[in-house]
Amino acid sequence: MKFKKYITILLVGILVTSCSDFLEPSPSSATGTEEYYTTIEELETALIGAYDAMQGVSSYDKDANHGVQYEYYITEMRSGNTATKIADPDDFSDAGQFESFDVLPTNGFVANYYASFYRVIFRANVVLENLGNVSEDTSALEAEAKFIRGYAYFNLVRLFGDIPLVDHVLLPSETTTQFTRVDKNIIYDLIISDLETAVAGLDNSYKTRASKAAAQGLLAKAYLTIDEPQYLQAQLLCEDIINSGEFSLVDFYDVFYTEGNSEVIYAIGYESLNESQKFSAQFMNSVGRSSGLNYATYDLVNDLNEFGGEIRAENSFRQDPNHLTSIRYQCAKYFPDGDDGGTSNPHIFETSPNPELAGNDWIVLRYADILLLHVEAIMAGGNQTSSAAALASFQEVRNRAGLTDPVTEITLDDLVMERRVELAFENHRLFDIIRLGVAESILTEYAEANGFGFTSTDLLLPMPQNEVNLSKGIMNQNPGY
Amino acid sequence: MKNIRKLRIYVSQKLMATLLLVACVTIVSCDPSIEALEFELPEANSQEDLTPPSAEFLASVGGDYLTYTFSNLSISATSYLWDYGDGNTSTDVDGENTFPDEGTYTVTLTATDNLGVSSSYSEEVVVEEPEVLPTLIPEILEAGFDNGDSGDIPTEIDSRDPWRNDFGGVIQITSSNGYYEGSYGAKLPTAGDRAGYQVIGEFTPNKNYLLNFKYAFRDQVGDDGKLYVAMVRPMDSIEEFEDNTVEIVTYTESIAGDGALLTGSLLFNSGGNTSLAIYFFNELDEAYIDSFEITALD
Repeated sequence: MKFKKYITILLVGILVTSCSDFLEPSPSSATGTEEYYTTIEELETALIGAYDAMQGVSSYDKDANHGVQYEYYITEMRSGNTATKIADPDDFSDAGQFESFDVLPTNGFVANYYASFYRVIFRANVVLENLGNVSEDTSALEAEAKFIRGYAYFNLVRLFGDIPLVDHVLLPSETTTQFTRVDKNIIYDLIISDLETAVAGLDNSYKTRASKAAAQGLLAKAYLTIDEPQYLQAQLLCEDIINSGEFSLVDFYDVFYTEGNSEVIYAIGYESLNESQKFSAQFMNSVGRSSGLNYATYDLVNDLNEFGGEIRAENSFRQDPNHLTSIRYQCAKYFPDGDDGGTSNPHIFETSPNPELAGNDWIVLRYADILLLHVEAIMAGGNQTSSAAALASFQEVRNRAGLTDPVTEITLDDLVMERRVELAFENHRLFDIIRLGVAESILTEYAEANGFGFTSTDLLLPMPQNEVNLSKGIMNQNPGY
Repeated sequence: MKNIRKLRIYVSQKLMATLLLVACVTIVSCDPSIEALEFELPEANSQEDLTPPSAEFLASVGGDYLTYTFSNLSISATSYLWDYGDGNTSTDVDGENTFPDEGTYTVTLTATDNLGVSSSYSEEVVVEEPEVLPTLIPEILEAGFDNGDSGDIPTEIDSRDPWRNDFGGVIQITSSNGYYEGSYGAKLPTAGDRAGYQVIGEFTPNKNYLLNFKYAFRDQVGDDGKLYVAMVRPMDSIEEFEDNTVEIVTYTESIAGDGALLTGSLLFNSGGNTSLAIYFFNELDEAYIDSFEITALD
């Protein structure tokens, strides 16, 4: 009977100790997300991760996220500005589908960009979700993370139309949110509110990270892109940037080859040796994995020669010195290391043992873009303007290009052309002509001249087929695909 | 012999069995009521079309108000027929039409697939010449100071009230002959420590406006008096004056002369503003101002 007491004590003891967290130990050799983000410094590492996702992985690995390095495929090569070096009508490779408006839902570059930018959004959401775990003032971090998220959504919504709205870190069970496409106006509401937070919480201390002016510029562009454009707000945002006195136009060549110059408002940074990008190499003749991508179309070269002025024509493109069977033109704004600008023919890379290395930043927003957006905002959906403020901004861009004849009236066509010759190869053309309402007429004409089949549904990309498949019927495809 | 008969029986039995089998097979194979054989060959394995065509389009107005483009958003179709409701038709994928005149047209898109199944979608397009909105003219309160101050009739209205501000003392009201129009005018004494300020709106953005007014100097001291009239973005403090000035005009006593009531004007562009303020002040000698009026130039 005595033993009964001991057994009871033993059982109670076991019950009490079994409730300790002995069975759920914290990992001692690694840090989990649940307890990591407790200081500003730790949260900042998450933020840098979001920038890293934009930068993308510098490799040719199809499974890696290449971020903005693949953007030219789905924007510039789909706008009539650029094409593959040698167009092959039978070539149904992923890269060849863009210039002829034959993009398939299975296109790997489309899927890569989609996944890349949702990764950017995920990483920004990680920062935003952990703001509450830090006791210090996190308003600057919040502003920066929201800038990143706004930028990523702005690109995605313009490319795909209605897209899934992911504004928090998704749990594995939230597959419906992951695949449900919501109306693009709701996406724009998030973009505008995110960028407004960014404008309020940032200053202009960085060029390769978010800044107040970068948020203002993107917000102005978003206001001009939405279904009911807010011209006045866009104009005021542009004027804030212009009147800040912190930005100015520089020599046209220096815009691209002197990093951090006073014209750059926001750029995605790369370093030649440690953080090289791959797009510069891909634009060359057989330097990257391809025989040559993002080559200027004759349509673009003609416009640059006729309307761009000598300075911009010389510094925007050059004739491919290696390709001798036909005359083709390369982008000259992002030559990789070791390229001497094309004076030798046949072309030899003399100074670099590895011509694939390129540290050229990707300029997302620069002052000339803002000046032309200012004109666009004042034109306010009309067909012309002769407002003094618009003329001053327009003239400033043209003066730098050596076109100093005074402009007394700007038509919509003038503005569309000026944006084309100023911002060629910078992934703006497609979005510009859609925003200004001239995409269908311009691309129909371009397609007819080149024997391509363009229809208005080509203005949106297909939703990636693997996303549609994984969604088990939740995600529908865009019309025309 | 016995063996032969046995053989004949055996053979005939087998023959009969074979015959019976063949007859059975023949009968069975010709019977269409047997389930396995009920389908006609051309339809074998055919499946229902789960995605019939669905027509849809988006209309958008082009450069001039009569021309519309129609983006074809139809699903699962191969041929299209556009009926623009004005007698014009098209079989292109995307539609474009120039309507003959203003009016309401029913645009119908019929999308058909290769099975001959079709779907129609109609939308009413209202073709209308866009109204050119007139440029807004803001109202200026007490523009002519004609109710005087509270000591003048009507005593319940003080013309200075809409012009009061934190940037200078309140203006005075004059009834000295020759220095005003109407009943009274505004006066800025020699000290130069008074100012008039009034926020007005609503302006149409990016339009040219002309502000007209009357002004005069009176020679009270030897100095060369100055009168400043400016259009400024609304200010919170006087430090913002320089940054917020849209346009400013300065009149000088030695050029304008004394005593005569002259016409002054200020041309300005509203820029990105829907409200602006009139701001006037003097220095070095006595000045008068009256009869503000604003007009649009475009």
